[in-house]
Amino acid sequence: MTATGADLGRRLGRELRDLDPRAAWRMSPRQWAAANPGFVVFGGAILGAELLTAFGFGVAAVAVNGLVLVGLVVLAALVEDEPILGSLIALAMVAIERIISIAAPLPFGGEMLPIATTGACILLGVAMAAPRLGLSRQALGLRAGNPRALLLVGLAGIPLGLLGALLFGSFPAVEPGALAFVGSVVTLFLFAALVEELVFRGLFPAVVVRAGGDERTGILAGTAFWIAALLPTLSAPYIALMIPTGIWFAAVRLKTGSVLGTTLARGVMLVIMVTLPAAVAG
Amino acid sequence: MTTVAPAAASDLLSLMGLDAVTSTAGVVVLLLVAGLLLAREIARARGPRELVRVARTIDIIMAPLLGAFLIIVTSRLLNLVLP
Repeated sequence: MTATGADLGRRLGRELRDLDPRAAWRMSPRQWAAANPGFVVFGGAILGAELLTAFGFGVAAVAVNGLVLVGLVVLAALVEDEPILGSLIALAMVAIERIISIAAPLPFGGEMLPIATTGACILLGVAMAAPRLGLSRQALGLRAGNPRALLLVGLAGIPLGLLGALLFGSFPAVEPGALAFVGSVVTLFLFAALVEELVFRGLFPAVVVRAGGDERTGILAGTAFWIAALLPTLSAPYIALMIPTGIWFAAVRLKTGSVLGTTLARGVMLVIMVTLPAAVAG
Repeated sequence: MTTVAPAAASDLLSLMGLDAVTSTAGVVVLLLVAGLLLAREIARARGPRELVRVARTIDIIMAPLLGAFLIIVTSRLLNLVLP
């Protein structure tokens, strides 16, 4: 097959667009943190807001996350470096997720509707951020890879779900009826599992790599925020289960380059945690 | 994370009530939306370079917050309409 001049031109354009002077070397997590003080400061503020949520100061947490967003916009206006801007947008998604989930309650529609609305808003944010930051689906980890490996990782959600249900009883309840069950399964896979994996193990490593960091740094940072987001459960056994789970998810993302396997595992885990207590009780 | 947040939100709802939550945390969202819209317009007025960089960043942040704004307004309206 002969490549035409137009094909060659397009390929050259793509290569030039992807050309990153920092791609030849990658900073270690410590070097990257030192080079991105804004990320560290605002990330610390978001972690502080998670602690406020955990101890029942939801309104204060919303206010702190709001201030973080204002600070991120001011910093975005000052920062000349486009790749650094991407890491600030990833942090903004975490702050926005917490703001929406607390400040926009729905007094109807059961416990699944707030998960769906929060997840849908964040998916919209990621969908707008990806083209703006020049992130491809592959960079976000949205690639199938080996289907067998994906399925095996997904099956790990069964024991994780059983353990989760055992350790953490109070989970969003499913409304009775087949339609509500199907809606809950779709909500948990699409708006909970996929959103979590896409933001914490998809967007974070992608923007950190763009800003000169190692993929490891981004996955570690995303996983740290993911674990911190579980603090409001105030369930030490559940958090103790999720720390190694998060580290394992991070390792899977690093090894396979995909978030789909861990999305499947997290989705299966959540469905079991939601349905099993009700099935046992009734 | 999205599954944890509704529990925290429902705790806050049962503690404060819908009116109080939307009048405090909700107001933060409304102020953010208004402030970001203002910032976007200021960025637009400063010139094309700022418009491209800052205004597009604000657009990304605004989109999910506008979703939250709609949810808050819907909640308040339904709370008024429904018995």
